[in-house]
Amino acid sequence: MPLKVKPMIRVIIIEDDPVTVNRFQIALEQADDIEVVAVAGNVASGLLLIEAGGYDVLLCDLGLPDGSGISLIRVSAALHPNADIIVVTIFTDQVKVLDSIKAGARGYLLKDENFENCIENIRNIRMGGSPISPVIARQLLIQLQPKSDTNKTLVEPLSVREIEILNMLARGFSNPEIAELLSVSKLTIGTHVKNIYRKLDVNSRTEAVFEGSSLGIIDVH
Amino acid sequence: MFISRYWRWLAAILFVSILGVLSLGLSRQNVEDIHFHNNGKSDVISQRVIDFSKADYAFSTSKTIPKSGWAPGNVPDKKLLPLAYAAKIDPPTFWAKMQFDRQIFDQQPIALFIKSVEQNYQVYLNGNQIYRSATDRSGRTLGWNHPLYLPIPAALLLPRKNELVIRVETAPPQLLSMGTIKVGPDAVVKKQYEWQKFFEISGPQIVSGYLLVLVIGAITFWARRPKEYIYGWISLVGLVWIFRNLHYFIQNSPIERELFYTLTTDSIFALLAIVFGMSVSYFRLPNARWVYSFIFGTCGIALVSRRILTENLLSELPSFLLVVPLCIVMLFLLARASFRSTEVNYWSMFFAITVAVLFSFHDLLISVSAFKGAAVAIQPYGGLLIFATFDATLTNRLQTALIHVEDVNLRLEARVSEVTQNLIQSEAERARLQVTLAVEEERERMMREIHDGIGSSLITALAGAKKRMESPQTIETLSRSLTDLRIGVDSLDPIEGDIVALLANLRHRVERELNSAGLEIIWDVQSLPPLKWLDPAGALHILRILQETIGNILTHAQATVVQFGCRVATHNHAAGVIIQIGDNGTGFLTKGDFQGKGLGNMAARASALHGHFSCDSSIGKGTTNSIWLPMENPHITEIRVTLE
Repeated sequence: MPLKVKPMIRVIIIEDDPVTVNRFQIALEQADDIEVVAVAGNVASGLLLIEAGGYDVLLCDLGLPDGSGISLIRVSAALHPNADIIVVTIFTDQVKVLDSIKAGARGYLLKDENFENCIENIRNIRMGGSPISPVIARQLLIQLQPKSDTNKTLVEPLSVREIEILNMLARGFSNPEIAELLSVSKLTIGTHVKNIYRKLDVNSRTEAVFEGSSLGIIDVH
Repeated sequence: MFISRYWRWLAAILFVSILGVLSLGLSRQNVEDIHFHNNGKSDVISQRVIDFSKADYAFSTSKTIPKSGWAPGNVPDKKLLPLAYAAKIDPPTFWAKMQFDRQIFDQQPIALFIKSVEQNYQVYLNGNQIYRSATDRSGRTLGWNHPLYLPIPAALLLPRKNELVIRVETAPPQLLSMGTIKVGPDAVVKKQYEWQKFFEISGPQIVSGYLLVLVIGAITFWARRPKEYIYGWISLVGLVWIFRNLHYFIQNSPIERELFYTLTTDSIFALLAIVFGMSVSYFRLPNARWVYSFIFGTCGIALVSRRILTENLLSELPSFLLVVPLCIVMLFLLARASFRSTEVNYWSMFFAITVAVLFSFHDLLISVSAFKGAAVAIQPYGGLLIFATFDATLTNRLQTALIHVEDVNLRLEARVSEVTQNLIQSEAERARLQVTLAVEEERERMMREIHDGIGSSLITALAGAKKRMESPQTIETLSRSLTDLRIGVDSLDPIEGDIVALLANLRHRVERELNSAGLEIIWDVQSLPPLKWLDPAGALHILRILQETIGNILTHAQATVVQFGCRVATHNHAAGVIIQIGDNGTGFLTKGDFQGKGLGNMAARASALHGHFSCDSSIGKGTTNSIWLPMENPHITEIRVTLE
């Protein structure tokens, strides 16, 4: 019987805790459009997976036994810019989420929450929307105040609308509420958030190049 | 500015003093010699002094006063040498004879004044020799600027008519002229002599000394800074000027007499060329090469032409006329440069050079007897003026440099103290950051422990309980324990007293739970000023109150809508904020003492923060819990919350 097959979302998981991996796999089995294609438990084997490619979404833990997941996020963002990266972290690590975003991540999943929402999360991110918590929104606002050095040096400064959305997110408004208040589509908010993440990522990469060139590591000419 | 004001004063003083000297000279002339004609004779007689204008001349090498060959002539007369040559006598010698009436001076002692005693001079009164400048020919001197003051012996004087005879004999360099001769009361004549001696002998000596000191200074300076040509130029100006001044006070030439004379007379052109050459450098004139060629070319031609003219016993005036256009062009260029730069240094040097040039022309004109002017040579003082100006420029520069150095030092000091201050500040900041970082790391470590331990167990237990379909109470307890844990951890988030952030985070935590319980959320929060006193302990109190409230709604209220709100509000006239969570549930009868439903604990927590808790509820109209918190809160008391 010919099936009307939606394009499968191929997921790889880099996570050292087998319990968490198991919970992911159980949760993701529920979705017929998501397929876990590979799993790695540390940076070294994770790197091989990333280099091999062939995935749409990378679920990546930060605290891996042989290093930080942030380096893996950087490599993935550089090699496969079209793949979405979701950080898997515990609820206390919101600031680390920010670092991951600057490295190229576009979403996050909190380990301590039920993974019921992770399907929705992955689908959303493939459709172009990123999640954000009020704490992260607030951190971003503090770092990107119009007068702050970071926003001035941002390659692409945040737009007035983006700042406005961040402000409402930090004050706890949900995406649908913001969409209604600003008279835009609900999905637009997620897209804006993803765009904000992208701007931060571009900027942090430029900073890295700048730091690298000033240290003589990268030859900019 | 201080410097330029100081400098202008100096320039003004210099200017005034030069004007003073000039006017003094001119006024003396006017007072001393009020001329009038006497007895139809053309001798000019002042009130006190006879200033001879006529004399009889005889050209003879005779050792005694000639008896014949006398012819009338003028006094002074600078053109006697051609006449002596014409008379074919060698060495060129002339005798001059003039008379005066003793009676004019009553009985007062009288004296003779001769403006310049060139070479070999003899004076006779009534046939008696009363002065000779040298005993023989070998004692000849170059004294063309040296005046002679000679008291006339009373015994040799006749009561009325007296005859004065002067014999002048010359040798190379041939100087044969009759200068100003005056006879008058001793005091007056002596004064005139001293006046001239000061201005034409002592003055140039003093000026030369001053120039020499400055030249040594300029050369020393130049040796250290060879690229600053102006010091070389000014040294050259000084040296030539000193040489030019020598003939005013030297009577015995250090070199061959004729050569000395030639060099001295020609040095006027060298002087002119070098002064203008210096000005090209000083004023930084454009097209310097062309200007130099023009200056040195003109002066060279003037010098050569003068040589030719004097060799042929012709007037040297054309040579001097040749440099007039040079002076006009140069002064124009300097004036233009001064206008363009507007620097006071430029204007003063322009002024000094102009005056020096005018002084030279003044001397030239009196030397050819075109006019009497200041009666004395003033050219030596032009050099003084130029050097004084240069001196002032240097002083000015030095002052500016010193002030600049002081200024730079001050700024450096300020910069150093600023940098030191910044260092101290950044060091303090670094130490603070280190502490923050350490606290943060420790918090994170502890949270990770909690998560991996209790958190993980709770999640597993909850998942297991759900799977095993255990009693809703067990599931709820486990679920609330997990939320409790999360909220406890959240309270540690650094939110800097931002109540809205606290609420927002709480929503993020409980939204799923509320939604799955079928509750619609109305979010009505406003921006609030931060509560600066709010620390994690305070945040935890607030979160616990809110959590308790949400728990009550989930457990008891049977509501469909829950509304979160916060705004600025006063309580008992104190400024503060109020947080409200309301539902549209069943409501209950509130008792004054808040017994049950954890209301007592909520009130206790609120009062621990010096806040106020209230619960507004009635049957069928839902419940609203409000927490008011003060803006200022100096003391937060620890309380022990009794668990129900």
